[in-house]
Amino acid sequence: MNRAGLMLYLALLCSAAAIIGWRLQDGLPLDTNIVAMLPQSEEAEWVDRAEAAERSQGSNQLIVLVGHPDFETARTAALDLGKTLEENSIVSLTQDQPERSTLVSLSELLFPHRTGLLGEGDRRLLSAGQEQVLVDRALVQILSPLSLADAELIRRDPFLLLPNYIAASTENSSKLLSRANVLAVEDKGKWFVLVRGKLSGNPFDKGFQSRARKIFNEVEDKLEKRHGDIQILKTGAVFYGEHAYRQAEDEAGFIGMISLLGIVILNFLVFRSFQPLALSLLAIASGIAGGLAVTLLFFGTLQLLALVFGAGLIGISVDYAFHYFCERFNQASSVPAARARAIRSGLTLGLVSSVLGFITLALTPFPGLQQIALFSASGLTLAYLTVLYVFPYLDRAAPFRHGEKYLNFSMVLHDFWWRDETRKWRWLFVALLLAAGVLGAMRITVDDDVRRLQSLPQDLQAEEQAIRHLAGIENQTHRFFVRGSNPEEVLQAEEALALDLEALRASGIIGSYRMISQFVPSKARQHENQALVDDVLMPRLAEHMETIGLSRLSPYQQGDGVLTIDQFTDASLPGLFSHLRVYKTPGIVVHAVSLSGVKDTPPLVKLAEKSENVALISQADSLSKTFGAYRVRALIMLAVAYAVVWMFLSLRYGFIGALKVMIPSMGAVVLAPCLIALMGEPFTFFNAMSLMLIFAIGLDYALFNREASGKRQRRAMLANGLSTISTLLAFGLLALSDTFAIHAFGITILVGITLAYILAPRAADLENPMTEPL
Amino acid sequence: MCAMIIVATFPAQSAPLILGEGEAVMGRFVQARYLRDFDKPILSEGEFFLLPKSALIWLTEIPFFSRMIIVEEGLSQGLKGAEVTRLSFKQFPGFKLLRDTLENSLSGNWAPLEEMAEAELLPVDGKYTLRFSPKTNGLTLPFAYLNFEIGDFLETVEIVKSNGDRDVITFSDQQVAPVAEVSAAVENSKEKQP
Repeated sequence: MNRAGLMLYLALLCSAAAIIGWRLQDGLPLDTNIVAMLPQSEEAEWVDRAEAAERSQGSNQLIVLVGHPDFETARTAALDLGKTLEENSIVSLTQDQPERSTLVSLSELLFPHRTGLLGEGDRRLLSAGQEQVLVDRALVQILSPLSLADAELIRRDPFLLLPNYIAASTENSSKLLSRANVLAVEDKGKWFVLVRGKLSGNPFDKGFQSRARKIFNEVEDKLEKRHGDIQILKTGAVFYGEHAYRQAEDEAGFIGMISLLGIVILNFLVFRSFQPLALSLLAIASGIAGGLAVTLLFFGTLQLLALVFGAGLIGISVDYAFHYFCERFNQASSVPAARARAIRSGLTLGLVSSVLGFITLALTPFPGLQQIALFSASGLTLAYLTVLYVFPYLDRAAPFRHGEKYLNFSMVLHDFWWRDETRKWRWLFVALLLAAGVLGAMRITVDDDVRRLQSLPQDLQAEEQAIRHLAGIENQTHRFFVRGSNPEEVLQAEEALALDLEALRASGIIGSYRMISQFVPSKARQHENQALVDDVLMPRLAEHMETIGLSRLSPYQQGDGVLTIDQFTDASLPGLFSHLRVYKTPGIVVHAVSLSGVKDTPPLVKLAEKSENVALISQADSLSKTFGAYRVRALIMLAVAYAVVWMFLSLRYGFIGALKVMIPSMGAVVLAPCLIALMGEPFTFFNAMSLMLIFAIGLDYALFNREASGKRQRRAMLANGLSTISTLLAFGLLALSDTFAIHAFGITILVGITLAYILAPRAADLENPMTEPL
Repeated sequence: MCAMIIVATFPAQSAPLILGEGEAVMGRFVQARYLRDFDKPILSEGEFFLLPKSALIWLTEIPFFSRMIIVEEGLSQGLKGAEVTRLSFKQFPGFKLLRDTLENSLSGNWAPLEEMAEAELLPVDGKYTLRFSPKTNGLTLPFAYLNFEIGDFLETVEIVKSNGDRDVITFSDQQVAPVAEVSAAVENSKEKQP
């Protein structure tokens, strides 16, 4: 059995090494995007497909403003920067400034349809019989010394319908001026020139982040050397992603070092030998190798949070090692195989319980949870094999001759729960704990708002704000998707939506909106416009032409057909509209409607609920909703995991016995959120996730208490104590993290594991000790 | 504190006047738009008010009352108290240059225009002329060139378009006054409109 176990371990470890070597040829495929941990949204399928189409079009942008007091210098530097970034495949630059030839061909395309193209204001005026305003406007514009209209245009369009239509439909809030083929803005004596592009890679991919940052820094240095006093303001998901990775890496490095130091000190302090430390590291390394290999094999990439949570669970492998080496305090036996045998029941029950819990977790349609579950289950299994089947081969040492005081000290907690003389204190402690729990439960605040859960770096946020302020780029937090079976249906649906959006704009709930039908109205709308122009405006044409000195045939000959969206490619649509054409396959067409200056979301939600072909999209809101839904789901799965483990443990302890074993772990899981609420911490998805770790470790503590009896009780208590200290050192420190998710994880573990350790001795049953090993 | 600065480079004849700090100018204009193949020029006339670094107000009285206010960011045109046009210079940046040129020329600030045109005011028959055809640095201009005729103040500007259209604006009755006084005149002019 022992040899077979060893062979199995070696085979699995070699396979793991091979898989890791194969997958890591191009570096660790670590994904820092927390969003990628989440499942597909719970929106309708067409919305998911439209969002995927948007992503594939490269919605991740990089925006840079290059500032210098001299416009030409700023422009040259901006062009240099853009060129370098494009040449190095960091971005593909966006043509913000349409070429004159593009504008001319756009006008030519629209011109034959000018009587069907009316801005909303003009349409209202004609509908209300106020055509005189349009006649007078044309005259005023023709008379202006700053007139857009030349003889040719006035002759062909005396009412200047087309220029007014283009001006109305392409108005935007940007402060950027078009100058010398770039967009620029002057502020306090400094010119800022815009460089904007779509990222050519995944902004959350570590390799792309590093490359983008390196090239950006290089070109920034080069521009500073060449142009002197140059200011560069930048924003984009790639910078936020890179910062998150660096922060997580720094924190993980620091906390990992403290954790490692703690484990080393604990080992030397308690075992006074190098061997336990070396073998503990072997167990940890085997666990991480197993977890990493299986995760990479099934998922291809590794989520940052899965690594953090998963590595935490692998930390349990140190606990397994502690239990093994505490058996060396048993003077009665010097056979290593006997040490493994003594802990096998507790270890096996602990492993199976944890794996069952993780399998339950893996059943959720939640990529992040699945990764954590798979990482932990496979890692723990390999660590288990290491301790039970490898340690006895490598451990040839005689029993420890010291340690009596540690063993005695570790029993203080056990005695507190079981000695008659501490009964009063026990009740007092339980009463206090329950009172604190009830008080905390009343103060629990749930927070799923992803905007608060993100800890964005202040300097990058300040740069983003400066860019928004200088360029007048509004933060578009919400948008609608509008669906139809063909473009005409979608344009008509947009026009219907526009009626409601106009009302919301008038009441200040939104600042503005933009939709493709503002530029290419539906056929139905164009026919209506045409009829309005014919019936209301054209009767004034002769008089108008006489006033301006034009005496020819009517310039408004009826054109053929109407303008259709199919006449435009994405490139020929003005930049303000091209990104709104999201998805188009036979039978389903989706357009986006962008919104800015949103003050209140519920009216927008209500609007979207009016039609199944309209969906409100807000990444932050939908993420928050998803976080909320999966916080609840994680808690439900935790309850299911307890139920499954209860069934399993009942096979050995009976229903009541199993429940007694589970109570300490359940107590810790229930009380931890209450106690952290007393510290003013909100309860989030990340806290809920941490409870899984408390579930698994807490069960281990309890199981070792239940399985140990007699003198072994002391060694089990000592091992539990050591593993608690190492867990708190490793993960309690995470509470200091600036990354909210990691902080929440750390603080929950700190409180939960402490509780699990304190409550674990109650799992023992002194009257019915487990004498039969598993 | 009326500052009428004599420019020393033109000793033979009186130099154009330059508005001093805190001064503004107002007067009348007549505009003729000559559009190719049109039967007749389109004529208009009215008052103008220049508040330097703030606004140029163009109050048309004939053929009908209308009002145009040109500021740094763009222009708006109003008719019977309602705005009928709004044009942002960020959409049409070439107009910003035309606006700045009109402001400089009406306020007698010729030096930047001479620099841009790489030409100097030319004395002709007791007046000055300037052909303004600036280097555009990639900017698309709404004109091919401008011809200025200058006495004490700007007297005529001819805006010539690349397609042969041209606008001739003749200014008269210019008065230099403190900004507050011209601003008050702007307010009074509103009452004239129906």
